[in-house]
Amino acid sequence: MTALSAPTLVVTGRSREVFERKLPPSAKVCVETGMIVRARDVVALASVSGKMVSVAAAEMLGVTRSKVQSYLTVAPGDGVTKGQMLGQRDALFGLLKSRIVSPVDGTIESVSGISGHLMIREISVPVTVEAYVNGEVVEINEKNGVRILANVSKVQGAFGVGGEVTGVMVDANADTVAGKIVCAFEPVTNDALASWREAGAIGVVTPSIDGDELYRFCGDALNLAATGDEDIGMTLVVTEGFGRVPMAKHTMCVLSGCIGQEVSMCGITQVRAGVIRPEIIGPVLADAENPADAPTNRHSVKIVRGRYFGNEGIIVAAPASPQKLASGVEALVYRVKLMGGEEVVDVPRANVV
Amino acid sequence: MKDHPQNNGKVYVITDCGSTTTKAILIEMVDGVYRQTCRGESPTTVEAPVADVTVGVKRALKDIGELSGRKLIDDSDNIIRPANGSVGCDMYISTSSAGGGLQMVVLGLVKNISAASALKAALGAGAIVTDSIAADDERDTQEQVERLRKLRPDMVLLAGGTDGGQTVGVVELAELLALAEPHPRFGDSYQLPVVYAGNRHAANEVKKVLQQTATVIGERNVRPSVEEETLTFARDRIHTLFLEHVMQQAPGFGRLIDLCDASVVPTPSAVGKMLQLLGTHKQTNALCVDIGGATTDVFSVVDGQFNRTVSANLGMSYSAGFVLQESGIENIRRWMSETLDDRELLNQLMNKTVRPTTIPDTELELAVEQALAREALRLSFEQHRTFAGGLKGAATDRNIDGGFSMGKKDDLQVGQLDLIIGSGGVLSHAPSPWQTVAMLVDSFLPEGITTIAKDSIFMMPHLGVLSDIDEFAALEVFFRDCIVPLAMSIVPLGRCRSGRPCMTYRFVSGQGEELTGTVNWGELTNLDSAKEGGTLYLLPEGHVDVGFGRGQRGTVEVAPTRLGLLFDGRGRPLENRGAALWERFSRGER
Repeated sequence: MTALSAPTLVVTGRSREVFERKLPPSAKVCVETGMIVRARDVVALASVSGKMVSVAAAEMLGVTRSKVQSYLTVAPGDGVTKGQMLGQRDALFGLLKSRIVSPVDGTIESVSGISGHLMIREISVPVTVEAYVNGEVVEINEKNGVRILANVSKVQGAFGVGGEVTGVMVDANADTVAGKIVCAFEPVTNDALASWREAGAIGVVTPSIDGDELYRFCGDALNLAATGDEDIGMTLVVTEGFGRVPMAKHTMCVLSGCIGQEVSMCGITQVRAGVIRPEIIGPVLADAENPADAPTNRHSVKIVRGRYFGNEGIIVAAPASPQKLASGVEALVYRVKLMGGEEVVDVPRANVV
Repeated sequence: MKDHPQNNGKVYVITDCGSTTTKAILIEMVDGVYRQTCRGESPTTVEAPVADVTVGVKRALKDIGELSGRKLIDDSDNIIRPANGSVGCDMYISTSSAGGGLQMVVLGLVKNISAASALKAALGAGAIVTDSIAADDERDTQEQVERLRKLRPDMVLLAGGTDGGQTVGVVELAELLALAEPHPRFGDSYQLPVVYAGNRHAANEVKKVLQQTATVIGERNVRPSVEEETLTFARDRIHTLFLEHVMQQAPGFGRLIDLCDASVVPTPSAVGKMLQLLGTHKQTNALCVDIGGATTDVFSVVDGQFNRTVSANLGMSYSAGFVLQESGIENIRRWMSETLDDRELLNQLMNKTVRPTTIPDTELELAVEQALAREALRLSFEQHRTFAGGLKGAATDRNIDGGFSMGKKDDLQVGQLDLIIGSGGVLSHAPSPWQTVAMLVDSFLPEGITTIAKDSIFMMPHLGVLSDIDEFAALEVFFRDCIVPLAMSIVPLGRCRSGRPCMTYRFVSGQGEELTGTVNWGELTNLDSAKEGGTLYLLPEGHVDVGFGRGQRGTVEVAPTRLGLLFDGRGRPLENRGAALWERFSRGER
């Protein structure tokens, strides 16, 4: 049997893998190799350098650019506070005074005698890096980050928005969703997402959503090809795609096993150049939640486009020569027996995962 | 070195090392003419664990060896040179866009003047320009510095100021760059190369400001005066630095340079060379478009002037969402004859974005993709037309009253084009060639007489690099094996009443068979009997222009094409989108 052509999204109730927690420059690692960590433990602290602010000093003081330095009361490397005087010029025997003050807290980065500008770097912003998963620290590399070995269940989605969050997973009927991750096993709408956000949910998992509903929720600035930085107040993972597509059976099975458990999820999606898919990471599931008939063999596929989008099935043949599709396009196909019936259909190899 | 037919008979092997695939072709003489006789490919090997691009090259060459029977790699893993009978080749040459190609940032003082010229120079050199920063763009200094810090370009092109003008502005730009301290993409072991092509009187100050940050290489000003643009020197300098600095840092590229018998050329630059050669030798005004999943490249050579644009966010999969955002759902829908509600159309486009490698299974899905392609091509061409136009900000024509009209000269005129070549999956692999013609005609809206063609395997990069050493072979293979002429499009311009005749034609085939017909305004018709070529006599009605001037009749020699003649009487701008008419053609062909 020919190998599957499209990259398969991982859906498993049991996996042992290493998670790499990338560190920002000059981060201070707070853990040691061999330590057992929980998902919310801080593994590193860092500060991200502040923004640069330009002050047109020569222009504001009314002096020539090359002489601006002689009117300043600060020099590169000096710390300054917002409102602090940076320089002054007296004119008309001191009757007229021009002053410039710092617009921000920060450090003087440079003074240019050519442009007459003074650059101030704002104070650094502290950031923390959490473990994200429950596991053991197996490697610390100041350059690459902290590596954590963990036994987990894992579901990769087709698309997501928002960054990393950790919380207990509940279903859509839960009494309270504040601080929790809601797993909706059915397609959702903008109204449902907004109401969960209003109620304090930190994340939502859904099989599918109509594109216009997603745009209503996220706004037009949504960039489908690279997500994760959206400021939408929660993280969303869509496991199947856009439209009204049901959740795949195995995905539903694994996520059902995570209800009531603490899980971590991340919506970052990058569909080009080093593909990144959104994910939900939960605890290892017992055999009951990880049935033997789960599509763990590579002949089981999920169809992700066309007439059979959302269907699952088993590859029964892989014709060697290209076949003509209904679209007229000629492509290599798999012959797939759809789950729950006897129907066998041709599906382009590029359209299965 | 320019070669002539007399000393031909050489065997050339050429690779294009792309981001994911290394494509190799074999060119040799068959029955006295150069032909592309075989192609092979292999995954590009720039990533760990191999991290050596030449491994993929040799695999692609072995692939050719197996397919053609011509052994190219010996047992010691060396390329066999020179050719001896059916073994080896005389020359091995290559283009490359692997490892992300050449990534540049350009800086200029004024967005529409020096920054625009710097952008043209960088794009013309085959670079992927990750940002163009101008002193007058919408961002403040802080945002520009932050942006420069995040980018890790291979090289920077800094321009600004006219020779003899003020030096302060461009020095301030250098200060901005110094403040940001951008690091080169490949490692920190060498200083970032900065090509300075601005006011020559500021060169020393710029070098002084950047001495701790970058290696500054001075070059002639890309905009010595507002009315003058000089791009060649900066382009050549970028090429040299690409080979000497950037490629030496990428995995295995030093070995690739050693392996080749001529300079390795950035892929887009090679396409430009081929198109320029075409313009020079055939006096053809041509446009070539390559539409990919993420970006669309447009190249043109008009009256000897070469231009290239890259529409970074217009493409068929990764960038489908951006095309939708830019064009609007109505503009995509207008190219479809079947109705599909907005919600379903949006879902299809979004699913294509997040599953970029999937292919259309149904007719409706194909129609959505081809509608999307028309909009991506249309928007890319709009960008290209503006960019390829005259110098912005230049004083151009003196008005009758003696005043200067400031502003841009005319943009590229589509009526100037003799040839439009399409490439990229959606165009090259359309089920019917009429669909390819339809997408190209609807998006570029050719006027007068234009040949529509496709480059089925995108061989133009290979032929572009070959043209440096053997123009004759490059042109011969270009016409015989590279482009597939699909149809000659005849577009009458003017105003007529819908359904009324706007022109008549008489076509005489090579065998003397004569066909006549009338084209009505608003109609889209074809003449497939013209496939083998012949002579076409065109007679416009009234003041209609069929390519020879208003009301002027004329004769044109028709070369053989796959589909024959296309008469497009829909007017410009389009009065009838003709979706149903195109479908009729496609079904007839399929």
